[in-house]
Amino acid sequence: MSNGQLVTDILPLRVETDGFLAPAKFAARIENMVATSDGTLLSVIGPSRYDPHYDEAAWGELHGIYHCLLMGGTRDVLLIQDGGYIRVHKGWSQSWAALVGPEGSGAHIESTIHDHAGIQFPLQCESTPTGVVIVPQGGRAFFYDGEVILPLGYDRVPGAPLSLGPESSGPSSTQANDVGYALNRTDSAGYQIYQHFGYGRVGTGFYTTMADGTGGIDSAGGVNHGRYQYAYQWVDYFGNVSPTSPRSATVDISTQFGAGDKPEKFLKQLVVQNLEDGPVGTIGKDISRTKDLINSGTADLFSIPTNVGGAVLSTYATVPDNVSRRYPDNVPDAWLTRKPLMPRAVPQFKLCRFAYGRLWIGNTTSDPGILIPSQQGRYGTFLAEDEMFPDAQGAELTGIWLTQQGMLAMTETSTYLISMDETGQRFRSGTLDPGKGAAAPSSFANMPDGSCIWMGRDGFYQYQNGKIEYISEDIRDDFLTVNTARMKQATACYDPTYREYRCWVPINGERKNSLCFVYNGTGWTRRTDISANQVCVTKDHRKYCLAVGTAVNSSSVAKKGVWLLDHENQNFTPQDRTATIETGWLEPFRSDEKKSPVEMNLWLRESHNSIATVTTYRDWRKTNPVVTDTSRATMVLQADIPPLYNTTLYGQAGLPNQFVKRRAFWKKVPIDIPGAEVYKIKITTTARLEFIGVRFRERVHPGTGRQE
Amino acid sequence: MAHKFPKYKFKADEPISCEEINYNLRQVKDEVSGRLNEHNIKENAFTDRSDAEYDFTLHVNNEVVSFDPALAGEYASGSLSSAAIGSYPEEYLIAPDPYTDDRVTLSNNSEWQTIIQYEKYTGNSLLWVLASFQQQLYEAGVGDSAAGQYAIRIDGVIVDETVTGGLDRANDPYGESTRCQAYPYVLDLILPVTPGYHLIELVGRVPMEGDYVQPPGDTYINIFNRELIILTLDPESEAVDGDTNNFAPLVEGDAITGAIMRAPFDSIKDDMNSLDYPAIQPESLTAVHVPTTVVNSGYLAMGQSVTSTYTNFYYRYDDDTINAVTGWQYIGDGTTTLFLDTITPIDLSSVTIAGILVGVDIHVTHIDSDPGANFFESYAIIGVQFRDEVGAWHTLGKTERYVNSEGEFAVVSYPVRKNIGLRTFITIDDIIPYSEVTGLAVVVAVINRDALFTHPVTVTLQQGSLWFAAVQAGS
Repeated sequence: MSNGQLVTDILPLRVETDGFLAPAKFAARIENMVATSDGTLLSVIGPSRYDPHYDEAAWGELHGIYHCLLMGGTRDVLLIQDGGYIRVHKGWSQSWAALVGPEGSGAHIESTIHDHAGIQFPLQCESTPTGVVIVPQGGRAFFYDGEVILPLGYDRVPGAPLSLGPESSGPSSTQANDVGYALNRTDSAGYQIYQHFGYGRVGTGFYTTMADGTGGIDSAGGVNHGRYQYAYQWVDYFGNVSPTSPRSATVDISTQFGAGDKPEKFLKQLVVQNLEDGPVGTIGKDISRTKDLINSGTADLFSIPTNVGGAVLSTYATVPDNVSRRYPDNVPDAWLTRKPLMPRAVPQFKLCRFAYGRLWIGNTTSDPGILIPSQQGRYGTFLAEDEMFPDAQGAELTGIWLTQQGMLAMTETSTYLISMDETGQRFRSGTLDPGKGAAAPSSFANMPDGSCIWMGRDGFYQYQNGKIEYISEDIRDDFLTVNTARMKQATACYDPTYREYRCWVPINGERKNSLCFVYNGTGWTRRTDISANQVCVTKDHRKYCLAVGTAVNSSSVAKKGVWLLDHENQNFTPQDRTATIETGWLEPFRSDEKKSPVEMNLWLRESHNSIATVTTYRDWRKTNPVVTDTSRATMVLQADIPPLYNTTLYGQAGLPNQFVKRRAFWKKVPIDIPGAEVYKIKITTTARLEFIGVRFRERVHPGTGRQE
Repeated sequence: MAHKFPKYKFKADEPISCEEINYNLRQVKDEVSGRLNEHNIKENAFTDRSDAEYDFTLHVNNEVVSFDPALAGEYASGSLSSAAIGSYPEEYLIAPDPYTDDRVTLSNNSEWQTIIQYEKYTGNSLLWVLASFQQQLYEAGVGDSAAGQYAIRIDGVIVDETVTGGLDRANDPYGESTRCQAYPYVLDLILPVTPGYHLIELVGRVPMEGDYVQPPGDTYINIFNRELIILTLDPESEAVDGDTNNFAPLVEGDAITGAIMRAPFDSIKDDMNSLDYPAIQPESLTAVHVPTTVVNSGYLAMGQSVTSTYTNFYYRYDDDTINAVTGWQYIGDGTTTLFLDTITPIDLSSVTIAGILVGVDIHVTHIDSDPGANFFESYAIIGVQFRDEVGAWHTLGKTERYVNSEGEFAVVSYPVRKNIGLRTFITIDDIIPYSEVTGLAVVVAVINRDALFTHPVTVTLQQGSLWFAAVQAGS
């Protein structure tokens, strides 16, 4: 301070706070500005239409978007949910193919997808090593490998098969196994196996001695009383296995023997039939059978091997087709070694995440608090025995996310860490924080420092190194504007280009996510360039931030579509959008002494040959601006005007006719706020603005504060 | 990859910044450097096969041995008279080589033995292997049960799914092999392989007989005509050096002139106008973009319910004659004849056309013999003929396949119920001195080898098909 004047430090104003008495380096509002790699703030540009040739009027309600690379990274897949359709982008024909659509739509899979604008999670998708899981809310989940799309696993159980075996016409030993499907080598009643075809193999044989009726002893072979049951499962194109069918009725083999005979003479061949054809995508039927229920000591089912040699290409199912409905079974108990998987029918679920080599699904229609892992490599096969309820009270899961420390499963009010136990095969759930949860499953994003951020009911949280921290204290007041009824539809991503976490939320009772809170790792800003139903970042080298939703054009008409953020080109001219930098109330702790700001030094980088509006306020009131200046804050230095588009001519002498890099400059803007307790400045423009910092010069008036 | 967008739109009253122009141009330049993929290339962009390297998606290799089994009594060497052969035909048909020949005779020791093989260098590819061959069994003793079992072996490992017969003799003592005296087998397999050399073999063995006895030493299983065809889908790409059009960014101080502006634009324009192989991300284009590698194709089928009979005698191996008495006859059911004479000429001398893949399947229902003949010596033979550029038809000896009646002595009409299957790959080497194929047909003939042309034989056919696909491919 000298000569009654004070010159403030340069205020960078990179993040905002709604704190009443915040340090001057924090802005009260930074809107529609992004941080550049040069360390400046630049007006948000764009968006652009991702598919400018597509008829905007053809879109239904756009519920979601997801990008992934499949087939070893060679298949570039962009998915959207458009009303009742799941579509995939076909750049080669500038169109969108319907993977899933309603009946009669001609989509690859005709299935009803819930389509309404009510409160719901956005479309959930998750990449796996072999394909992408697509989970429309309120409908069946699907699996798409880049070429083939099928419902994820099986949601129903095959019907019981019918087993056939021998029956006995009467109670005597000579009437044993002589009718029905009696196939053996007994040379008596029933069907006989041709001698060149060997013997039956099913049954528990025995070999003993018996009186020969003449006082001597003769050897005797036979088959013991035995029982068998069958069941089967469907196997789909992706290797998923259906629930096991109910078991068949029991096939009984009666005790049968003969003096001087070998036991194998009495062994049987059985048959199982009524093997129902599986739904679309089924490529095999895996048949299982019990061992002899009476003699083996186990009632478990075992898969019947494809063939004796165990051909590697055919081990996925006993019957490698979806046509055969009958299977003659001549497999002995000794060949039954592999127990079939016992999956559950795939439930309708809302959330999923890929972790530990498995797909985890949660929040099913019947059990909102359940979490179920798939089999490794079979992402639509969920064993009946594998499930957990992270929340002991079964509260609804509202988020599943993979972090460096393990997988987080959250309810609205609590967080659990799912980790692998020592065996590497089982999982356990531990309470990480009983008081912090997630409000929106699509609000999660991983940050480059290894942390992850998401939105809870009262703000944003960050998880790192085993701790959850509240990170939105600076916008706590603004967060109160979020429409709490629709929090679950919030959507977020981490933009690696700008190194920002961005989360779109509905505010002030709106139904759409119209406001984006932006976190750069140290503080918050906001943007309003688009109303995003869902966003994603492409997983390829482009790192594009894409959104489905609406953007308002230069005619003030809201347009639906797929949008590329932070890019602008000729295919879409957005409505003029105001970029704002507003300081907090400056010098609040010197408000007992009046001061008169007289000048603002504005550091900019030349951006547009126009003038930003500078509005000044004083003494905690924004009702009446002190000054609204529209003539001083030029965004190019008038003394050194660069070559400008639409005024510079190719090679014309006398004009600035060299390419430039946009230079930095400072600009004095007189502001006259006499005798203020506190003051603030707001800089706004709809043109391009690149902001470096601001500094104020004020005259101080010691001892002039109010005395009351 | 995929669609890329310039970031900045140039608007009035904004500075003409070289950084932003460079940034926009670099987006395109980067993409063309090797990240173009399916989304950047218009559907059916390449309608002309010459737009692409001819071997970009398919390699075809075949190994073939053509062998004259002397069905009509003449030996391939021509050293024996037909009269002598008529007396002891089996010596020439069956016995191991008294002369030098290319037959493969399987040893009776139950071990897998190579019949024909090919070594192929591939990338991460899909191999489609087709093996087509003629088996002939001879056994001196009555009641023997020797038979052949065949498989495809890749890099020393039998692929179980290709094994003919069964893998379990406990359920069927004869089940390991399919016992046929004269039978043409076709095996095929599609298998993904990793990069490197792969040895692809057709192998065969003679399993133990039903009673676990090794077949007697005078039992011979011979393999005559045989062909191994290997189609390599998505073969290894050869290293290609792409042209580099250097991108010269605008720098501060450059004059705003057309000439200065043109430099960076031109480098992109040049890239775009002469897209080369390295500009496209590997394996990212699909069938919607690229032309089919099938240059020409055709298909004919005879009906299921109509039978046709033939009595024309087989004259000799690789003979071209079409004759109702002695020579070949075309196969047809009265409505459809397996005879394609309207094929757009296929120039096999072209380096881009590797050859013509041909498949034939004919069902033989009966072979009826003269009561005075040895019925099991009655044979039905088929072959493939091609028409050259001047309109003449020629038989391809390597395609001759046959079955015999295997009938009992007292049975005149024997229900053979066998399929004659054939797969072959016709290359320029097969048709020299001609260069073009303008037609394809299936021919049939019969013979009783016990008395050659004196005992009439009638073969009844039902169902059959002929298909072909001329392919653009490398090797």
